[in-house]
Amino acid sequence: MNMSARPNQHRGPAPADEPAHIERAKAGDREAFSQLVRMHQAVVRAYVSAHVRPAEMADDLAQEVFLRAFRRLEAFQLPESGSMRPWLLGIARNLLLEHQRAPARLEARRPADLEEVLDTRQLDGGLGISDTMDLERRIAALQGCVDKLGPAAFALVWRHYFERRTLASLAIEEKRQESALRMRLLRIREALRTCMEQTGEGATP
Amino acid sequence: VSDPGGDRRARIQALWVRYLAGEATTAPELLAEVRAGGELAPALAADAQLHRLLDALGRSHAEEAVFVEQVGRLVAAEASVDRFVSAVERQIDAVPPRPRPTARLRPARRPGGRWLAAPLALAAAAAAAALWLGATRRPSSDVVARGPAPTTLTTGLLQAGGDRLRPGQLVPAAVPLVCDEGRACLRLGDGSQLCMERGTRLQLDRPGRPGPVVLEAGKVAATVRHQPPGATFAVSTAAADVTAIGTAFTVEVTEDGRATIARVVEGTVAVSPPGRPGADGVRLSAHQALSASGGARWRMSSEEEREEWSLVRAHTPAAFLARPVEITPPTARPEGPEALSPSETETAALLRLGDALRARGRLSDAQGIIDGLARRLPGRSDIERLAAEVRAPPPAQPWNATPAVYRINAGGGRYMDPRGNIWSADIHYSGGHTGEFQEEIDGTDMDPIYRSERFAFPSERMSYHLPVADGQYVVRLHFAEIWAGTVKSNMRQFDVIVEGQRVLAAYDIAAEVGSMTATVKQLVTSVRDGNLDIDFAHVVENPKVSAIEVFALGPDQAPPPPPALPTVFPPLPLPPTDALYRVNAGGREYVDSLGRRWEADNHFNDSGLGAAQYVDIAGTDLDPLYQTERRSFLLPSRRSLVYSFPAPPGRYLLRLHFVELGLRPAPGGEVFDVLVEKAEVLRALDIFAEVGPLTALVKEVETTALDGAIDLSFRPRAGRPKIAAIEVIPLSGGQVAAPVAGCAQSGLPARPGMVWLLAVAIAVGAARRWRRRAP
Repeated sequence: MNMSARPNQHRGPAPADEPAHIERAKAGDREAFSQLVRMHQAVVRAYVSAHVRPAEMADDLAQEVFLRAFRRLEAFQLPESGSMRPWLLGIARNLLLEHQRAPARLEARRPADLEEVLDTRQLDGGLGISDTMDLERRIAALQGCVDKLGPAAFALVWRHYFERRTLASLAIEEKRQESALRMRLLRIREALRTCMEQTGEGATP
Repeated sequence: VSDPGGDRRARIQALWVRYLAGEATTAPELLAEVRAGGELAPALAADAQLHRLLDALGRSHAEEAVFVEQVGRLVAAEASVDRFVSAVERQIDAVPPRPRPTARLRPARRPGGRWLAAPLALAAAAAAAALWLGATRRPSSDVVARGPAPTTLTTGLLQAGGDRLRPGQLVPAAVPLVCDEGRACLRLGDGSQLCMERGTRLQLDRPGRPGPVVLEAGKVAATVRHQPPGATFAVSTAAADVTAIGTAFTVEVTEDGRATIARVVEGTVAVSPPGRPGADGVRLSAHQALSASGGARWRMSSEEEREEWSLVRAHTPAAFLARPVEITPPTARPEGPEALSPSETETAALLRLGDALRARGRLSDAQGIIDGLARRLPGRSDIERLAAEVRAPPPAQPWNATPAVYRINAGGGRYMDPRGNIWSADIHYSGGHTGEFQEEIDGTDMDPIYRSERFAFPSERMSYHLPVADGQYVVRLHFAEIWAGTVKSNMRQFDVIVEGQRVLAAYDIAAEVGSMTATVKQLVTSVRDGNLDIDFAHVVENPKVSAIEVFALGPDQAPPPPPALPTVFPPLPLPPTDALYRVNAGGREYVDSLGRRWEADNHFNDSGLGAAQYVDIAGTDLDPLYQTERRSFLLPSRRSLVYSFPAPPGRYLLRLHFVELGLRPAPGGEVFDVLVEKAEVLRALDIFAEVGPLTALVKEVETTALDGAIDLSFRPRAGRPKIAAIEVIPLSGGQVAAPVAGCAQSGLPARPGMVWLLAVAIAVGAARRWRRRAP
């Protein structure tokens, strides 16, 4: 694969353009709003995904975050940082709390998995989402650590996570056992975790 | 016991990566490792988080365009619904608002709506007053004779004459009823429901007054069943008679007793001067309110309307949100076999089926069959006999007639069962949430305790701590799988721990008894610390419990025999059917008034989510079918919903039932294509745009099964695809055609927005074209 195609998480307008896009979106420019969605969707989706499964439920909630933002856009005051991201993550946090409390369960309950038990160990059973800044730091640290991976490790991470290829199909292509690829990916994640801990942004508290 | 050896570590890691790759069968062993606090647990937890973060970043990279476009659609739909609502509001506000009389139960607030230009307001007020004063006089036959149908108190307590009524007891007619303790609800003989607030005084069926309700003080909320021809349902007060025209509404007598306020949540009511009930008073439709002292009418504010809705239907705020605008439901009912009188044989078969349903405790399905027969064959004694049996109290079951230390209706309110045992509202719990579903429960005559539940999300703790004297106890735990999301086995599993002992491990209700069926687990335990502790632990999905009973057990006493498992009933005596499949998507088994069985949701690929909204559905008599639905996952990264019906080769009619239950109620909010055998048969279906919310929509398509199965799938354009019910009906033998390339006319009339499947093609070119179009 082409190694120059490393993931670029900052698509859409450059952060410097954000205030202008917000102004245009406030004036009713839907394309400007779409640009803002493009700019922040990765972080919002990562944030919601950290607390909600299955993934499509998380993405539904992430959409709802942007819809709420659109409804309240008029009242939004741009902070000094010039970014609406903290505001979006605040909306997401409230939405997650509502989601957890939702008693009507029209669609609130999801088939759960082992990971939720692991979360209770990791997050002490609470939402653990007060520190949205921490998430941004961790994403930045992760991006830095992914960039430091060797070419083969990077290719596996890229093709599996970012190109959404299944390990089964990659195994056939590379003439390797799928189980070997799974273990390889586990080792890569261990390396990434070590790297993130060294930069002070590890996953383990 | 953790094994420090490397083998153990390697094994857990191998299980873990298989789990991440989607092999759920490895979960139990991993859970055991995590629960035992194995050395690898923290590493697994950290790896899970990192995997998820990578996965979310990867998804947002790969699906950025889809996501942005989807949000764009939502935003566009949002803008269009705003325009729509404001247009409708402008029309409704043609009548001026009027300050609301002092409310007794709530602080006064300004009715919603906007003042219009004064001349228009005056003209409208004059018109309303003219209509009010000029209400046609009717003959004195105000009081429509009503059959001797008994009225039952369903919730709360009521003072009747000198007697104190409890839930389950019959309510006498023509006796002053006083609701002096919280809220109380009655079920009237015709199935209508009447709830009253504290401080309400009324009488039922008082001679000489339009009825059944004569309201003297306070406030009632009525949900009125369809009335037989010639009958009316009215609430009369000193100031006005409020007559229902198929409806849910509230009537309030203000504290000073001078004004009567009617507020309409659903349907239409007629408000007329006292003694002149009927349809010729001032008509009020949904979202409107009227004070009968002056005939003034206003559109309710959303706050006011939400409150009325909560009185009428305490559990469906989402349904309220689904109705931001009025949509006239289609009046035409589909022509069906119900239009014809049944033959003697058919009648006998339906009566047998009704009786079999009654024996299983499926009373609402049985009542549906009785109602259907009574509509077509009024006044038959055998139908009335079955109706009386359905109403009769169920026989005693000895195993439940023992005095208990605790009877707790988890997640629900106080309840008296048919044997007179009182179940307390949910108490002594810690953690969890409550849920309630209005489905009928098989294998029990205590449906209400199984309709409510306490459940906990996986990351939460849920337990009961019941104070008791130290000693031995028999504990009975009641369960029923009632949520459409977990109707199949392996969809929900949990552990129950009583006094530190794991008494149920990875318990799977649906695997044991199926969905919508009650089951009871009994165990004996000893308490030494003054507290009987019951803990619930997550395995798959959310742990839950329906009810808990605790009985004291003397030292020499043998425990009572465990309650029998639900009786296995013989198959229902169903009349012959024309369909190969009838499926109630997202819902439970349902037998309709024509004796047709709709099987519980099945034949889907374990994908998608169940949704339910227990409200009246317009445009159909088959409300239970439409109150539940299955919705597809949204994004291309998830497996999309597919129904697959094994079927021998031949021609089939697919009748697809849809409803907008109102999660994103806006034209364009949810739009999707329907594909049969991978061919698009319905393009850009927008249920809301076609019929509005909470209204049945039926589409028919023909198809040819070639490969032994008929596949039904969906392609989202905006929001989620969804389906409420599916019928697969073989077309008659003569019509089963050998597969040919080309088109065949379905013979059904074309309707707007409807696209018929005309093509029966095996031509290779056509198949290739479809494959390319499939997502």
